[in-house]
Amino acid sequence: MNGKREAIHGECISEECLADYLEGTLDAVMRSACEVHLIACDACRGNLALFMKVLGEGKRPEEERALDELSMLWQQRNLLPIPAPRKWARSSAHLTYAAVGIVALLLLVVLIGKWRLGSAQPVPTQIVDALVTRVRPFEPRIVGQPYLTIQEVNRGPEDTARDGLEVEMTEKSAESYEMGRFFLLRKKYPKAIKYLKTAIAESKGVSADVYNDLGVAYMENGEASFAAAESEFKEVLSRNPAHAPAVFNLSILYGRQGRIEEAEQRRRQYLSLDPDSGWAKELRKKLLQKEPIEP
Amino acid sequence: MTETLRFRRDEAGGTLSSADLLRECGRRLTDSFLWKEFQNRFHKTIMTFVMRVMWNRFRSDCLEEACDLVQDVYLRMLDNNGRVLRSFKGEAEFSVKAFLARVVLNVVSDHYRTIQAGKRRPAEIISIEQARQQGRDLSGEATDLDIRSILSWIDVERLMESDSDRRNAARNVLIFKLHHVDGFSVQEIAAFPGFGLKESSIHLVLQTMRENLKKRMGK
Repeated sequence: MNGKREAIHGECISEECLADYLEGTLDAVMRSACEVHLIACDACRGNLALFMKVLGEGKRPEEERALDELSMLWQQRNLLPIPAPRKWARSSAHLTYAAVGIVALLLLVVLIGKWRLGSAQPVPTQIVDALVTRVRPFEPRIVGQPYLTIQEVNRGPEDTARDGLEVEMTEKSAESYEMGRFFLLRKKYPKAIKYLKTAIAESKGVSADVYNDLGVAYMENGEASFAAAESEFKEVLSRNPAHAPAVFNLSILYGRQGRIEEAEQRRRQYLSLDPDSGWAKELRKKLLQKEPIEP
Repeated sequence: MTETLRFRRDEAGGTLSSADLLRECGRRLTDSFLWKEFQNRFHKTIMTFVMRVMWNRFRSDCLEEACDLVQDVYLRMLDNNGRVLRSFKGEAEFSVKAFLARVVLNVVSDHYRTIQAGKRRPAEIISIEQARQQGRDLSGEATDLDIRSILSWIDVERLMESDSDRRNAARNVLIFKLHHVDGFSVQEIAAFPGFGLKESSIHLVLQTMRENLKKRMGK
């Protein structure tokens, strides 16, 4: 404001003050002072008149024509009034688009992979599930096994030939647990023990089911491994006291070891957990016969 | 154009008032979306202003020159990291236009001042007869102008004294002069909020002033 006063009290009015006057933003005193000066000073009134002509709303036809010509000339000269984006900004935009494209492609691949995996179970799981549901190679019970009568499997632990299924399991990169169960069902107990132990070592918070299957492998591996088998089954029950397969297997193990009372106790415990299944009928028959069923 | 870019464009300037857009452009000098919006809103205005200043003050209508000057106006706004734009304090649409007009006026005036400075040459040697003739011409012109100024000044004093609306006497005389001396129409004067009058009121002011003048002349 002081600047504006100086401008008025001096010889002429500043352009800023003239603009403010035309806009009507000056206070009454300043406005009057401006007006007094403007009617006396032709130069300042000339400036005011110029501002009024420049800011005027209407356009004369010749002005319109000149403006069109100027616009055309501007376009011909390809002038850029706006700050052009920096080169690095352009290239970074291109990089961003490329990165987005790659991420989208990867997502697509992952989604397609998931869809394919989701639509069909992984092959190793399919193989093991097929074996579990079709054969019962031994008396103890592994996890997820439906009741079947005991069948003899031709291939014994002495058979070292790698069959087609084993190759496929290996090629499909089956996880240790699946490999362990596969070799268990194939009666290749040392391999089964190795893989199942690996499965336990590989992951924290491993399921009680893995310990159960490892116990079965130890039990079927021979008398020397009975203690290890008992230890594994007890580990399962410490985690889940109502784990039916582990209780079933302990009853079998104690029977084989001649620990009759403990075997009967476990059979009764099992019948309380699972009174109606094929497994239960088998145990009930043993209770009545008071002798183990040999494979 | 992607959704993101469209969003950025809207965010950049679509919803900003002209005054805020001006200041924002001063703060974000490299934001091409913001400046695109600036161009959409003000480029034609700047071109018009440049042509008007060139014609009204310097009697020039050279389009090539106008093109260069429009470019210079943009450069002036970008000077010192957009200080001119950032210093803008107005809010109204008229303030924005007045601000652009001032920038244009400065740029065009500086341009012609530079040209004039370049044209200055050592004094030409002329004959004594030529000097006498020029002196006669100039003195005659100056005398006429002085008389006109004095007459005009006396008229103004008298006009102001005779106006019954003492509070707005100076404004009324200014309007009278803008209309009769500078050639502005009533409509053109009424377009500026600074005068605070509608067309009908300006007509009334002019009529009153004319009657007062007639009375004075009659005495």
